[in-house]
Amino acid sequence: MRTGGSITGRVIRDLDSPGGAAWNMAVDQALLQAVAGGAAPTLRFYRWQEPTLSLGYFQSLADRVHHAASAAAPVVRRCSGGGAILHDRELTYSLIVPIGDRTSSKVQDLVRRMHDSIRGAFALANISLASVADSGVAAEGSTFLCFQRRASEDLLCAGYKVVGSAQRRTAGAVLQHGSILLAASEKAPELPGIGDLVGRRIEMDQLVDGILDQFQQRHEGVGQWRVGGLEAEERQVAQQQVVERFENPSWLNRRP
Amino acid sequence: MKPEDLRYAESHEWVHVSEQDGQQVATVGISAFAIEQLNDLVYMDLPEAGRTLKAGEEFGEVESVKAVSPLYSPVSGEIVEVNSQLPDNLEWLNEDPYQKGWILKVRMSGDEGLDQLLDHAAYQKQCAESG
Repeated sequence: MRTGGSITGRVIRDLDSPGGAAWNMAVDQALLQAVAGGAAPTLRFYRWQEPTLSLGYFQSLADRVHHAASAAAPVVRRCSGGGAILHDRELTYSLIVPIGDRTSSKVQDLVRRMHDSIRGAFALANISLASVADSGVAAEGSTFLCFQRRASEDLLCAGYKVVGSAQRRTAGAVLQHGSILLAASEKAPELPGIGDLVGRRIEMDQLVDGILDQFQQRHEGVGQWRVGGLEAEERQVAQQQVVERFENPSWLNRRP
Repeated sequence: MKPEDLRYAESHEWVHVSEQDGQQVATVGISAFAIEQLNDLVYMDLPEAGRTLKAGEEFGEVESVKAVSPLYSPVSGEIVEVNSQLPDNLEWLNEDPYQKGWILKVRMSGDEGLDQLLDHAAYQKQCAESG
């Protein structure tokens, strides 16, 4: 990973114009390619046009029969690992940074760094989140839904998992996807969000400001983060990725 | 195969080249160092025999702790055999990465990629530096 504070990172806030499932995934894919090719490290926050189920890269599509509440929701396969997420009353982020060695523990450490930032942002609002590792909860990685799994860096609120992340690594960059569950969805009512658990409504814009502020203090590889958008070429790659990959049935069915 | 006798790609794949029926065949796997770093592999996707690979080309993927990572071919040629039992027995990678954990056999089309490979000492040095 590059070090030194002279690099300027890019922040993309896609909160006011939620994208469709394929578009959201295609933008992250385009950013992964761009950053691997030398574009600035990028942190994107986004939402979804309608409640959508995203599958982890290696999950079987058929396994969604085990989750009846989300049966009517559109589905997309992510390129990142982990379990299925129902994106509804949640905030999704993607962090894309250059890497030198895809097996390095520094790459895995980005999860802890991002989760510490999220925890720090909530702490400023007097909401306490704890990591699975600190809580002494046993790891569990086999359930269909991501938020019913437990990995050591996942964040819990009142014992419920509310923040989880997964990665896609390439030779030159890593894409880290994460989800912050703010309130339960009708399509996954068994998963309470932070707002439900603390009895408060979480303001999305304020939350993003808080996470950014915290992350800037923790990601020493980037001197500052500036708000930006997609470059024309990235948009073009994303449009191609929608057609070739994320709306292509062979991608969704790669594990039937 | 002993790790000392193998050659290694910077991207952590190991290679053992042998002569079979007058042709060079490369056996390819991933190093114990990479397996340990990736920590707890849960899924692996491998290609079919018959596919042609170029040195540096992605040939498969693994998932570890919610991270999907590609595997890269250190040599060019045609895949002649795949360890198809490996994805269902990923513990072999931890137990025996240089024997039972082999991944592919590639009938090499030339020496492309070979000069990029590191010997064991140079690879150990790279691993020590990457921390």
